[in-house]
Amino acid sequence: MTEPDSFVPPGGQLADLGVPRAGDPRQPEVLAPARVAEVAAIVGAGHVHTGWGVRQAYGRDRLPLATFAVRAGRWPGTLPVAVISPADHDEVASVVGWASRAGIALVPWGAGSGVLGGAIPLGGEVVLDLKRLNRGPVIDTDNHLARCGAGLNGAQFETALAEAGYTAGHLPQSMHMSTVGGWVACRGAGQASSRYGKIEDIVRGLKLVLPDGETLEIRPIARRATGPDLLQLFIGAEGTLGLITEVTLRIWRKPEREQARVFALPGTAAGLATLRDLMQAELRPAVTRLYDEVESAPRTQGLAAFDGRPAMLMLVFAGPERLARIEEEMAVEIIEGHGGVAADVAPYHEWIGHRYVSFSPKWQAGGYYMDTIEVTASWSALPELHRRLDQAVRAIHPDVHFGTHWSHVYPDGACQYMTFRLPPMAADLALGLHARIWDTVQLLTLELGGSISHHHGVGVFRSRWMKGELGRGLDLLQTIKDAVDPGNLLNPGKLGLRPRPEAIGLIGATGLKS
Amino acid sequence: MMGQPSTGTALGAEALAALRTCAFCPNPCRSRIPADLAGQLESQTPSALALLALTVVAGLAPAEASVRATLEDLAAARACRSACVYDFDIPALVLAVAAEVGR
Repeated sequence: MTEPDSFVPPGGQLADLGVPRAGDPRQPEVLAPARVAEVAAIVGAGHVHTGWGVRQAYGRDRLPLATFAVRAGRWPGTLPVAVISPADHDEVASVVGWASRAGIALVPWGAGSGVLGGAIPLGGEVVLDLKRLNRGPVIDTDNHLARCGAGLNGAQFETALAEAGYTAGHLPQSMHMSTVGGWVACRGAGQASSRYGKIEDIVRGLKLVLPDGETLEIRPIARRATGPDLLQLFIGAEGTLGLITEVTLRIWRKPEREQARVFALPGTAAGLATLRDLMQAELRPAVTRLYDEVESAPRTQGLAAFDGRPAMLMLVFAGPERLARIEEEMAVEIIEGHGGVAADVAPYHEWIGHRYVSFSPKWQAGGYYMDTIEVTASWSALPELHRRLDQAVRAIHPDVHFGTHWSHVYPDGACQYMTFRLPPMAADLALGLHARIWDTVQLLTLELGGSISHHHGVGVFRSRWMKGELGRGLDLLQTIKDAVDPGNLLNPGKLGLRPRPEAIGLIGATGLKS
Repeated sequence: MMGQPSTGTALGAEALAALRTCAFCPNPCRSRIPADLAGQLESQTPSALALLALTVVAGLAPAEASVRATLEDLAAARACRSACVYDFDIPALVLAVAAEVGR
């Protein structure tokens, strides 16, 4: 594989990875010893870390731009001045209260699997690693609820539910590399969302620590009419308004029946029309995945059903035996009405066997520039969005890989999930192309009435498009932030919100001062 | 740059390539880390350790005791070993780098 060339980012020099240099804002001083002693009195000395060996692990999350930077020997933002690892809600509350009094900003950290830079420190922050808050789940079989600590690993949570005969139905590709609290903080989606919903449909209760160190508990109640839903204020807030310490999710009995089917369709347009009709017919397959021609081709090689029908649709019908059978029967009628035919289920077995595997490491390690963008659009806009983006992105670089699939679908629209990959080249050139692709996708999505994000969130990288997304709503969000967190101490500079004065620019991103 | 040794490591190209892949892998193995294991720190995960090891090999890590201590804190990474989708033995590679620190 070709190594990337020397890294010359727009905007000038950046610190070398790892080498502290006096006065370099990307290598900030560590937390003062007196402050370390204060917080050690709360969590214990063994849970306050200022050594470079520990802090360096928190200098990146899985933002691809951060990977490009690290690969070239640079940090994407800064290292935290310390890492604190509290044991429980009370310790989190005490640490946040301490930080509030001291004016120290905090970045909450789950498993760092976010891909928009939401966990990257931008200058002077302490990272609060919440993975010791990993107790549970406590399963309430009467009310179909499960409660756990926010730091519990997602796969450990779902495994515990499965052993008791339940599922939360939230099965993201990042299941093994994310925490339950992280799912909520970024407003995530799982691979069974077409049956069980996104995380905002699944969360029923939250326990949080507010920026002043006080506790807010939103009790799990089926429904209430007591003003706006406070749950929804904190789901997807990415730790900017409060730190989630405990989560209660809705759970379901494990399905009696799970039947996978694969279909070949005449093309992407027919596939999108099929998805729309399936959802508007009130069907709720557990897995609903349509791949465009680019993504279908490598997955269907040698399968006769795809001759002349280049788009693959994968469905799993799940739930009570009779209900799942009826859904399958009705779905087949709709699919056949759009020219679809049943195909071998081998592509499904390949997918299910690797559903929690990340495919990016081999490309990133090989010097490629790989990234994904997920947006939401209405059914009426999706065919044009797909067609125009396919043309526009390919016009940016002749050798770009650009493929699309749709796996989170609703009666009124769907998530369009795009993967792009630029070949190895000089990093400054690649970053320019990478930025152009992102800008093209986000702006065209807005032009066609869609949303810039379906489930990856905003972090720091998407901040620049938040005004276009929310309009006056971004001002309202900032007003709420200023009221709840007047010191701008919780994950500052994320979600399109105002950064702290000491924040530095993220490599290649705009919207923050550099 | 990362994975290009500048300090004369004894690790071969294959080992460095394994560390490089792990450093860019988002730790799907981490669900094997026992919930009651002390610390639960990001720096204990294989991917973070692989990145730190590469930083050391490249001669970019500062000369401070916390670097070696972190490289030798391998209980979590060992728990992940059987779940590596690439079948790498990252703890062994990291330990080999740790042995070179301060040599």
